[in-house]
Amino acid sequence: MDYKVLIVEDSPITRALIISTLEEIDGFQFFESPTGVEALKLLPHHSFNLIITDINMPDINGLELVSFIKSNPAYAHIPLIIVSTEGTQKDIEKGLSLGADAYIVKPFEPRELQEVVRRYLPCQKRK
Amino acid sequence: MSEKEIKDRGLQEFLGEAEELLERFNTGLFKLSEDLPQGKADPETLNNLFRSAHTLKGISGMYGFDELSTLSHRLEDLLDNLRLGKTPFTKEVLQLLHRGAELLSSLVVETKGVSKETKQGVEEFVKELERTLKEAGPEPEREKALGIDEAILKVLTEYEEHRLRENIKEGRNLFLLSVDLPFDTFDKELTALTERIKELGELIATLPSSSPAEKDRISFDLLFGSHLKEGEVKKRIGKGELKGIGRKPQKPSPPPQVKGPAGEEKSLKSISSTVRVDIHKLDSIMNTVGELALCKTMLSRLTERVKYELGLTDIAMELKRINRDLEKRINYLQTSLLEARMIPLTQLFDRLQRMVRKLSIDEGKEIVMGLEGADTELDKLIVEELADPLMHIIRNCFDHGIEDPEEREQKGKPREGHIYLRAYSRGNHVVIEVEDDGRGIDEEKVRKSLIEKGLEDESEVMKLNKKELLDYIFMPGFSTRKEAGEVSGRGVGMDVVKNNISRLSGTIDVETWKDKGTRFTLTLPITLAIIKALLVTSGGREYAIPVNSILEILSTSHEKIQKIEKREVIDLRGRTLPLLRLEEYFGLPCERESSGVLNIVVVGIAEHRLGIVVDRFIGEQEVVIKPLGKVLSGVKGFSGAAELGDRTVLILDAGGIILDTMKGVHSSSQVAGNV
Repeated sequence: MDYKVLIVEDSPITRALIISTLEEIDGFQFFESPTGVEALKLLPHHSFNLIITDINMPDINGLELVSFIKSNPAYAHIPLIIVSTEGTQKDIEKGLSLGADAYIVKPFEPRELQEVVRRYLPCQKRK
Repeated sequence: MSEKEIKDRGLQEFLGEAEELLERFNTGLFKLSEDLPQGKADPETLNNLFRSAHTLKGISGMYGFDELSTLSHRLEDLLDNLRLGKTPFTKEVLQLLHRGAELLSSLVVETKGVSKETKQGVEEFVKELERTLKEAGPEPEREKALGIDEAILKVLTEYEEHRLRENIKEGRNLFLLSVDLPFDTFDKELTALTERIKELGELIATLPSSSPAEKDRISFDLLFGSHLKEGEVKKRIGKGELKGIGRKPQKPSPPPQVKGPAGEEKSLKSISSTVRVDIHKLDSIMNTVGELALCKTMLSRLTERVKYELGLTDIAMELKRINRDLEKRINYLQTSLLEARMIPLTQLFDRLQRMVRKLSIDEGKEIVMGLEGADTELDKLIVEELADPLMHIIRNCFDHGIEDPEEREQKGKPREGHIYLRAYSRGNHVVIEVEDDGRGIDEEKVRKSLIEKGLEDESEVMKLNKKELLDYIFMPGFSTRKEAGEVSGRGVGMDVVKNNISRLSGTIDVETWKDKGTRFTLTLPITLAIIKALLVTSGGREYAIPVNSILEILSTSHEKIQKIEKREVIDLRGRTLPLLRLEEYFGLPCERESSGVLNIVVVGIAEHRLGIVVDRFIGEQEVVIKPLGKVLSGVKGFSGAAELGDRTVLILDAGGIILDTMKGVHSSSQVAGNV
């Protein structure tokens, strides 16, 4: 069965890039959410295997989302990767202290994202 | 899919999003400019700007547009400092942001290849930005012990922390609202709630939480600041559990209105030095100035009478001196007003360039548009009226001129087609050229089309030289394409373009080279409104000829007239000068004043020359051009009417008449009535 990946990011282009980068790895089903609120709505309906989130977003920010997910026993186990721009180092540190599993700095190398994702979903092969 | 394929596929999406971000950035900057007089930027505007720069940096970095990424990164840093209060909000900073926005636009436009100038401009600008960034003050003290739950502080981004501090600094009360919402509808309720909070103050953070016991509910802690008291806030929100946050607000900073007069004066001076004025207001001032010039003319005639009729030489001298003074000032007033109406072509050119880029994407043609002289200035009204004709010409180049990439390759040309848009000043005119490197206009096709459409006899058509032939593309009903293209050729022909340009007292020329390309040249006056005109009479009627199109005035004898192919010409210093009689041109009955002298006004535009035969020169005068009414607006040969105080005179459209007679195509049945 495909792994379910939730991408929370307000930039449609960044979402598209993340997806096309990960499409090179087999067996993913992608869910996109442009806001934190929409991500909250999706969470109980799917059992996600991986969540990728931005930090700077309108309404609920990425840190708040991380805090919510990692403090909720129903979701705390889901690997969570922060994708954020450099220069928000403090925000990234906060995210890690809130329980995020990894972070990637934008602009990212496709391979870098693939490697981090494989670390958390290890059984995937390359196309 | 390879990395390259991902990038190719995404390039269009990238451009789309980048343009949208730029637009948002520019809108934000505009709002920010409005905040400048208050010396305080709206935090939401700043944050939106920051977010636009941030996203642009992210996506351009991912696509490997290094300059764009670096520039947006530095702008993001500056905006970050601004929103965190590390860099003060000043006019200089705003100017930096505006310049940054311009460079961002150029870079987005040049994604396929950044020009050397832009590259250099960006490098210099980035250095300047870095200097400003270095000057930034220290990071404001981090507020600890706010009495806010550590769990909330932990999820605040750096920016939100700053907003929290700002709220405290401004003496707002801080509140924490805890609400418990049903999961099914929480999104709508949360939106409604945040809207209400925004009316009361500033929402700083929204922290979701849930207890595992209640799966169908979700809780939120909303942190916000407001000037209102706890009781009032409670009443206005009427929901959830409201908690005023324990810490007493700091002494509020004095509100702006308490500032002393000196402070006020200072803040007024820092207001941006530009004012936006409705162009029609300028028009009406211009009209008044024109009328003032008329008064001056009358005064000067009166002075002559005082001198010659009354013999009061001393008073006449005095009057003349005052009149000269008046003239100087009126001239100055006119020039300043004209300058105030001038705007650079930049915006129009940028818009056209965006259009071409969008068309290339939509139509799958690889066409790049190069700009030159976009800083050339023209009267605002002319610039506005130019948009449509230029767009049409460019669409023509795009659709008919430039070949498909495959065809170009076969011809040994680069796949990528080019359209160049150039502007430069030439005396009192501005020349705009649109040039493509496409297939050129096929002369044979034009000849064939003329015959097929029955626009001209075959024998006539064969006699036409290249230049005469090309003039036909501006004729109504002419098109060499069998079917209308997607882009151009929807019934609107080059004749409409020509009419639009003529209305602006301009001319349009076309040159073409087979398989090399086509060039359209538009020659336009720098400004409309007031012109110097030579008043003449011909056939008992008075006309005004704009001085800027007059090359010289000749008085010679009727014997000098020769006839070449039924046309009257004279020899002017070895060059044949075709002559034009206005009555014939306008098809009016001739009431020629008989005088032995042949008076000729030689007019010219671009390299064309024409001698207009007149009976009498009345004099030179400054006139205010008024548009022709509906009845006369369709009549060729006139560009407007001039109010001369006691009478109205029609102004000849020299450019239009010249080109019309060059071609020999004009309808003599048109009637020019006396106004």
